[in-house]
Amino acid sequence: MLVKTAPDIRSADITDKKLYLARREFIRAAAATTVGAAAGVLGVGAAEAQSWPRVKIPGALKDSGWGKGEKPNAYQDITTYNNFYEFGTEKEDPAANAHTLKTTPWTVKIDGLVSKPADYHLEDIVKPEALEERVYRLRCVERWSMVIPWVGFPLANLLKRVEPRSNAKFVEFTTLLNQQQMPGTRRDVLQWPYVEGLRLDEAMHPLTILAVGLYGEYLPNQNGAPIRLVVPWKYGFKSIKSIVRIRLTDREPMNSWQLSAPHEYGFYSNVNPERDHPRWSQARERRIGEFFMRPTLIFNGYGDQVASLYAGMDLKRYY
Amino acid sequence: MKLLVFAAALVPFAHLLWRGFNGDLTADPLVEITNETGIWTLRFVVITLAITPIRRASGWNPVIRVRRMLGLFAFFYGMLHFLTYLVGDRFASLDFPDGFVAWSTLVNLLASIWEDVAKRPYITVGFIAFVSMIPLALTSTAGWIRRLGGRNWQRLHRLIYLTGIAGVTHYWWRVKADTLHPAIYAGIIALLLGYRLALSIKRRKGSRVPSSGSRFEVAPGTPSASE
Amino acid sequence: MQPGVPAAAVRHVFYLHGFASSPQSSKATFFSERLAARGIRMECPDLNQPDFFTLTVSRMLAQLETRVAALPPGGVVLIGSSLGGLVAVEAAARQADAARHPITQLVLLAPAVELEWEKWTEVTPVGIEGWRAAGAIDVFHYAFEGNRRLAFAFYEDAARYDASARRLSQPMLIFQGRHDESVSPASVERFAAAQPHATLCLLDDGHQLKDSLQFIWEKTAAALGL
Repeated sequence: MLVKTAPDIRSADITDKKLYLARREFIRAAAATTVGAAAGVLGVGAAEAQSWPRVKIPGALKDSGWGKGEKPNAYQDITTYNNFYEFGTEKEDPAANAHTLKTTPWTVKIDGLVSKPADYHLEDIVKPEALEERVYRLRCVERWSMVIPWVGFPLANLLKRVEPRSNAKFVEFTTLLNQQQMPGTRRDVLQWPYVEGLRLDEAMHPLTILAVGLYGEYLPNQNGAPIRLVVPWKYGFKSIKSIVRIRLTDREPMNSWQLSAPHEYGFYSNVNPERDHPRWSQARERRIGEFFMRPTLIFNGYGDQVASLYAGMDLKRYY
Repeated sequence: MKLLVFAAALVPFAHLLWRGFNGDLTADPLVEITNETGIWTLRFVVITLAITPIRRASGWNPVIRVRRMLGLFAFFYGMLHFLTYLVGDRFASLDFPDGFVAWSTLVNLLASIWEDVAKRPYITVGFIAFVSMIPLALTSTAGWIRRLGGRNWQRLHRLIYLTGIAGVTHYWWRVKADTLHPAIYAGIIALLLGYRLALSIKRRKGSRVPSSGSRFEVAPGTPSASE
Repeated sequence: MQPGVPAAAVRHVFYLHGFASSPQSSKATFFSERLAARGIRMECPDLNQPDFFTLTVSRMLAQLETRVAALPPGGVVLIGSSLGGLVAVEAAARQADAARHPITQLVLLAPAVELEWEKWTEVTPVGIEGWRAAGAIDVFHYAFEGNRRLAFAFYEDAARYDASARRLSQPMLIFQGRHDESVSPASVERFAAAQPHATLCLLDDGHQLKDSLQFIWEKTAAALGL
C-alpha cells in the first residue's frame, strides 16, 4: 500500500491574509471592550509557577520534518490543560495533582502474541532509539485542539524488536493503575485501569509514536510521563498515557471510553468532521489560543498519510 | 443585610474577571467561562429554591427579603452563561462570507442556535432552563405582584421548579463521564422540591393546623353609641 | 387637656395597613414620606406582629391602643387602608382613651367596612366551612411574597364587628375606587352616606388606588391643615 510520507501540512493552515488580519482585528477589538476574559482568550497573562521539574533531554534531537509551518501551542497551555482522569476530572487537576506519580523506575510489560515477551525497563526501550521531534496536531473529542512538539520514536521500532507473531492483529495498551499515586482512581469515573488499542497496521504506521518528551524536555507527569502513545489522526483519548503494558492480541481491545459509553466512543475514533458525537457536532474545533473555531479535517489533516488504512471502510459505522 | 448578600453574590463574577485579567482562565477561557457561569447559575437557582425551606426550618423570616435578589442573580449568571455560549460557541463557529457585520451573519447565528437547540438534547433543556427564567426576571418586582395578583404571580413563579430541573439535567447531560457533581445538585434539588411537594400534599389533606399560643383577646366592648 | 396648650397642637398620625400587607407597602411609604416632609413622623405599626397566623381585628385594635397609649397626650388621626380602614372605624367608635388621645379625624382608603367574604380569593376555593374544617387557610401575603396560614379565629373574631353600622362623629375623608374588586364601592357609599361628617371621593381606580395617590395626598394634606 502506498503511504504518502510528505511531512508538510499545507493548505489547511494557511488562511487568506485579509481574512486572517480581519480576524486579528476583531479579536483585538473584542479584547479592548470585553474586560478580562478576552485578554485570557489571547493567552495574555502571568506565567504560572511551574511546580514540576523540567529536565532537558540530552543529546541532539532529530528533526522529523513533521509539523513544518505549524505554530506549537504554549508550553503553559500544553502542560496545564489535560484530560488525565486518574488525577482528577477538571482540566487543571492533572497539573496540580500528578506530582505523586512515580515515574522511576518504570517498567513496560510487553506480552501477548510476541516472540519476545518480557518486562522491559524504560531505559532499555528508549536508549536504542534515535529520539526525534514530532510537531503534531492533537484533536480532543471535546472539540479543542493543540499543536504539540513531541519528542519520541516510532512505535513500529519497538514492535519490530519484540517480533509480533503472525496471528497478532491488534495492540492493546494499559495505563498505570495505582490508587496511592493516582487519587482520581479512587472513584470509578471510568473503569480502571485505562486501556486503549490500535489495529496492528495503525500501530506500525510511521506516524504513530511513543513519546517521552515535549518541547525538548522529558514529559511532565500530567502529560503521561514517562512514556505515552501519540496517534495524531485519532481523537486525543486514544493517545494513552503512562503506559505500563503493551499486549499484542488477535481480538479488538475494548478501550475504556468505548466501555464507558459505546454509542459515543468507538474503537477507531478517527477524527471525522462528518461523524457527530451524539451530544455535539465534530465539524469544528477550537485551536487553543484562537477565538474562531476552525473546520475540523478528516483524520485531523493526516488523510494523505493514513486514509489508505481505511479504504472501503464505513467510517460512520466504525467510529 | 441586602447589601451584604448583593456583594457576596457578585463575588463569583468578580473572581471570573480577576482570573481573566491574570490570564488564569485555563487554555480555553471561553469554555472555562461558560462552565463557571453555568455552575453559578445553577447554584443560585438552588439557593433561591432553598430560601423558603430555610425560612420555615429556622423561623428566621427576614431571609425572604433576599429571595428576589438571589433569583435575579441566577438570571444574571444565566444571561452570562448564555451570552458566552452565543459568542464563544455559536458565533465562533460561523463562516463570514459577507464579513462580520452582515445580515447573513445574524441569520446564520440564529440558525446555528436553533440547530443546536433542536438537535442536541442537553442544549434543548439548557435553553428551556434559561428561557424559563425570563418571565420570572421580568415580573420580579413588588409592582408586578400587585399587577398580576398574589396568587397568579405565585403560580407563575413556580416556573423556578422547571428552571431547577431543566438546569440540572442540562448539567448532567453535558458532562462526559464524571456525573458526581450533577448528581449532587440533582439530589439537592430533588430534596428541595420534594419538601414542597410533601408540604402541599399535607395541606391538601386538610390536616388541622394546631392553633398557636398567643391570642389577643380584646374585651368585646359593646359598640359605643356614637352620635 | 392642659390649659394653654391648644387641643390640636399635639397630633399623632397613624397609618393602618391592609390585610396581608405591611408598613413597607407602597401606600404606607408614600404617606410616610409626604408627612415626613411636613415634619410629621407617621406611626405605622406592623399589624402582622407577632405572627400572621393569629391575626384578628381585636388584636389589631389592641395593638393600636397600646401604641397610642405610649405616646404623649394629643389628638390622633387615623389613616386606614382596606382592613386597616375597618380597624380605624372601630377604634374611632370606641374612643378607648378619649381624654388623652382623642381620635379626631379619619382618612379611609377603600375601607373594608363590610367584610365581603365571597370576594376573598383566599376563602372562595374552600369556603368558610372549608376554612373552619381545616382550622386555617393559605393567604398570599404581599409583604412576605408567599403564602402564610391564617387561623379560622380571624373569621370568628371579625364576625363580631359591624363597622358598616357605626355612626362616627369625627370628620372623615373616604377614597374609593370604582373598579375595586375587593371592597365594593356600594358598601363604602352606604357607609359614607350614613356619616354626618364624611366626604367621599369615588375615583377611577382599583383597590390599590395606586393611580390616585397624589390626589389622595393633596386632599388629605388639606384636611389635616398641612
